[in-house]
Amino acid sequence: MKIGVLLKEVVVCDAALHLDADHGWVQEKDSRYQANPGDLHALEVALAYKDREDTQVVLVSLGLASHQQYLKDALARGADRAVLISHAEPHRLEPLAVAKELAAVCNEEKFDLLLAAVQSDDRGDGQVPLLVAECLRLPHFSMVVEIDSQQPLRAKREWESGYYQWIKSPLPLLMTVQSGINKPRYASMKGVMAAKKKPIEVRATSVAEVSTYSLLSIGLPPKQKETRFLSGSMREIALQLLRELKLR
Amino acid sequence: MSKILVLLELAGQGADVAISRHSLEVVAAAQQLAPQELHLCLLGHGLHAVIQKTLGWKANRLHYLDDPRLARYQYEPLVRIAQQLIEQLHPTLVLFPHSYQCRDYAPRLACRFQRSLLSDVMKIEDHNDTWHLQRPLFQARAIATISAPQSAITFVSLQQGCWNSEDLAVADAALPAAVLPTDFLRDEWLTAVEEPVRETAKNNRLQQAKRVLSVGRGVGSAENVERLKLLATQLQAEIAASRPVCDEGWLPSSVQVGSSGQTLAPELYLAFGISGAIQHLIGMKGSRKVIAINRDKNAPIFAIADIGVVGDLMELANALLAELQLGGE
Repeated sequence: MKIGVLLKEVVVCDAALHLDADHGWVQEKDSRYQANPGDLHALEVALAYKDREDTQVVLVSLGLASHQQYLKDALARGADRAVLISHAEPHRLEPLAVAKELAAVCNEEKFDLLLAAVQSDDRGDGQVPLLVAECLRLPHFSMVVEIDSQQPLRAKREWESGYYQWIKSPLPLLMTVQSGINKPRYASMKGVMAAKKKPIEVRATSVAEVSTYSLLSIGLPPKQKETRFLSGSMREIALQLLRELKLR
Repeated sequence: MSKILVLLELAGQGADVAISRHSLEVVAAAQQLAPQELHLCLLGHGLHAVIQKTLGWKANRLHYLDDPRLARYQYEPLVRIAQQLIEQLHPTLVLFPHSYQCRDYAPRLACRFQRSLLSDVMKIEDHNDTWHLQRPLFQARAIATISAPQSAITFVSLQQGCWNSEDLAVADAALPAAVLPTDFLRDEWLTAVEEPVRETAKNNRLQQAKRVLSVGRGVGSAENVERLKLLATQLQAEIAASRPVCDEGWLPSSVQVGSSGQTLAPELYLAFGISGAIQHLIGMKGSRKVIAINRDKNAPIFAIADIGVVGDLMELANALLAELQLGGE
């Protein structure tokens, strides 16, 4: 089987953001980067196939040519090679523009299965994988939480309010997976060494850009409530909270 | 001038089927944009009562299809039928509730018109020849304002809870209704779907709790979760969690709060190490009072918190436990 994994680099979101209003994004120098956490679950699904049967795992990404660490990490975890479509300002591209670029690569590669996350931590458009599927006229399953590996492929998808549903489809197919589906493996020392010889093919964009809307501004979200921040030592804060809860 | 199409979504099963509350919010939002014409689209099966109710709304036309082949949601027929309707109507704006279902088919539908979906939109304004829209970035830590020209079609999904379903305007005269053609219905598609099954029922204990202590990814380990369970008991609160904590298996999914889990509105919601991703906020923003502790003072949870503590959640938990004379550091 030949599996493509759509991978994306994102800004680490658990620290304070340094917005760059002029460029409508974050300040590159003050930000830390990593693979989109959800993408690692998609990669893990692919690597689990590779553990069981003869499988080639190819990473397909669009991003800055100067940032390749997330791809090296994914290769160290066990992917075979990577294709990086280089773009100087990936955050400026609309989801459909990104999808067309990715679809062009996938079209050449002829994957049996395409895997991706449900959404990215940065833009959270939640649609690039499905747009890729539509461009390639492939069926899709979204928000998959469990896979039944029989043919034709059968998987369990998540709905709102605790509902789940089994879906099946023949391959080729695209799937977006939820974070609860597995625990991504870490790279072994051997994997890190092996990754040094694995190719990352950097190529230019190949499709005419889609541009239908424009970014006017970026800012911090409005406060919906006036938050009273407690200060003092942790003990003093704890006492204030207990009084608030009428337990003191 | 603008023509708006709203794609309505159903909720519930069998005799309980109704238009989702989130869809009502979208209709209210569309009415407030005061379009020249407002069109509604409804696809499903067993819709007689639902349609009767819809006919009372202030709009220009309802387009519907009530067919057993639409009994279970599947993206393929929805995309095809909506595509045909849009090709005939030429709306300038197509609105969806930003639900799981929308996220499954709206991108593919937009793609057929060479568009992306502007997803999870929190605000939309009519600026004569352009729409101005706001949507979250970086998991609601930032907001982008985007403009889209009204000369072309725009596909937008609206975030839950940003409009009020009670604002939906009704009319005196019944809404004209038109049945959509069945040409695009098929018995089989590439994907085959089984009946959806509810695996995690409503957690009544959690639903009825006056106080909820909710644990987020910031908790870091299963041992710390045990400590917070002890604290919850001492604070007379029920324990709950955000998705990452349940994904880790530190707490069962029956206590997961958010769009895929429980929706709660307790008197007090204690958020321990929850950053406040929108999927979580949907499940708790009706809480009367929110107390949040997080290391990042810009975490989105503080936008809806009454009382905030910036710091390490375990330090606070241990200080609380110590004061409650249960040991701790």
